[in-house]
Amino acid sequence: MDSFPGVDGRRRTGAAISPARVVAYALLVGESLVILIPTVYGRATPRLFGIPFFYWFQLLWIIVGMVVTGIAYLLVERPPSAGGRDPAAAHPSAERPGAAR
Amino acid sequence: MKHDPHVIGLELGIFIALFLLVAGLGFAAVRWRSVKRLASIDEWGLGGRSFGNFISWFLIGGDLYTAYTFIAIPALLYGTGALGFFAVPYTIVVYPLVFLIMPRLWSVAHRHGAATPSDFIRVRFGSPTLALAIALTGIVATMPYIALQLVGIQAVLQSMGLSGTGWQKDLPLIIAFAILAAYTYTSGLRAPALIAFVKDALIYIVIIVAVIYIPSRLGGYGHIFHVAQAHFATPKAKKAHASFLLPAGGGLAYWTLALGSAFALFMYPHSITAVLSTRNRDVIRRNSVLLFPYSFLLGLIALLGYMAIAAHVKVTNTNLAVPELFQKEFPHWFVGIAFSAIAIGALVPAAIMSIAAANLFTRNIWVQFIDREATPEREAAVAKIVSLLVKIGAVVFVVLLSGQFSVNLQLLGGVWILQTFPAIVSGLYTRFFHRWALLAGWLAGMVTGTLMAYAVPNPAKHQHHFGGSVYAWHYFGLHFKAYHGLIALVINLIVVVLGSLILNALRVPKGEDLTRPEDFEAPVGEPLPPLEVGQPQPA
Repeated sequence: MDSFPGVDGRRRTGAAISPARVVAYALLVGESLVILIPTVYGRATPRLFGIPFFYWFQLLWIIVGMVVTGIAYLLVERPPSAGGRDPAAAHPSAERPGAAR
Repeated sequence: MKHDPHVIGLELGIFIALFLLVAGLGFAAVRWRSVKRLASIDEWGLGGRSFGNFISWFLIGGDLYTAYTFIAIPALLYGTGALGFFAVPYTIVVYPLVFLIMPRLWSVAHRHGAATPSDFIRVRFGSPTLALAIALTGIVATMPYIALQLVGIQAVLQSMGLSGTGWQKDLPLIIAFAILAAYTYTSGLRAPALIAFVKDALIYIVIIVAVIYIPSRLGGYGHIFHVAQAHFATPKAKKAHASFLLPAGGGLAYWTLALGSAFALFMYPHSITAVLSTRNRDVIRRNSVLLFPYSFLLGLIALLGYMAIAAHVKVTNTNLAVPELFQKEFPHWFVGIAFSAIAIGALVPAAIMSIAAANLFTRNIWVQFIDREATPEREAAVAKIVSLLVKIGAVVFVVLLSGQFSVNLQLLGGVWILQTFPAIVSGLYTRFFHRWALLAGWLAGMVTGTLMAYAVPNPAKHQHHFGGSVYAWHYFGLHFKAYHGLIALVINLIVVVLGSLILNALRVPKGEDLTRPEDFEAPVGEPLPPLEVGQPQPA
């Protein structure tokens, strides 16, 4: 259930679609969709400590958003810096980037 | 009322002391984490691309949640009610977007030494024209945003009673910004990164105290909402199109505002500057989870608008609602801290915005079109001077023109920056869309967005134009009210898709693409391939 290695045995691009990634993306999309449909929460009741539903639901959803994004973070594979290549090999900003003409 | 026309000594004393502390930090930041002199855009303008999880959390949080946010979002709830709460879904939606999109931008920017969104566009699409369009949009959208930070400071100074006559009126503001300009010039992005610690600590303290202490004085949250509900039921409030819950048909305006703002936020140059200053792509992913507490904070800040209503704060300029609320409810010494928090909260984003605009101008206009042989040292020198000019421009803007003009332009700026979304984000995933189609879509979005923004009246403020962000659409048999920025984005996308289909069918040259698929997933520590980059790659 890990990522699919490339042909040469090395992980290649983000094109590797693992089930975990699909679940992560579905969670993120679902969580965002709910908060983008105001008919879901556009009412006054039920109130919580006297706060109308419209207001407390959205505040609550911030916490849901954090939890969901956190789960997505754990599900999406870490960048493959841990394996294969030597992370200490580079100091990225030392050289002037050639692309910036 | 406690509000006197004269300056209140204790408040001002605390305010000046904290401001000086922050200025000292700003100048000291030049020595912080620096390996050598700040003689390149990467060092001066991106903090050496070295910030880890901890610093980035403060920096990005301090960058995105600006002083104007603390003033304007509650002001919106105070003035219009439920619609103003769109800031909450906005900040909920933005982090999943960051989580998905920004690591790709980080990687490709890292591999190709891109310091600005336009650098990426040029590398990806081989089109200096499209890159120029993106750069100009970024600069033009950022300028009024910087000016708005000044409006935030102005609201605080005014509330403290620092309002002389004539040119003296603006003197404190000019001094504050001159000091900011000086330490940004010397320390670059390291200055706001260091100051962000102070800013965020102050903001968290003030808001947490505010959302506990003020309701305790006003009779609890239930009572506050009760008063607000009664307030929005009055004929006067109804006439101003304000409402306690979303009106019928208001849902579309609500979610388009939230989604459009979320799309726009990370297209702003200052957001991208903060993203590119991180040490690796995992820092961005991690922070898109960890930054949520700021969103919660923002939700609580928004409610300050209702607290102001419950505390019987009466202001015509809604931007003064929060300062007046603090004046009314807090003891003097804490008002000093709260106002410092807002003012320092303006300095961090203003510094990052001016740096971002300077990076854009230097990389994508100056070096691209005027001084092609510039060394990194010369790039940094140009950027530093431009950061000064940008700040002077913002001060002139606010002092000579009305604050309302900055607000209008900032609304427009949001519409404009949103039109760079198709080029930047599609470019991170695909080359299907044609560079000229992206340019045409951008132009279509800019023009229609500006026209729609112009056509929005605000009867409550007696404005005929630029009256708000919700446009009533009545074309092609469709009738709805939505955020004009997002409508313009849809028009933009239609042009991009149709144009790309046509141009691709005609086999119009697509431009040189210097990126490779794996560049978008390049992890931390991948060495830059300096030789390879200049070589043409098959498109």
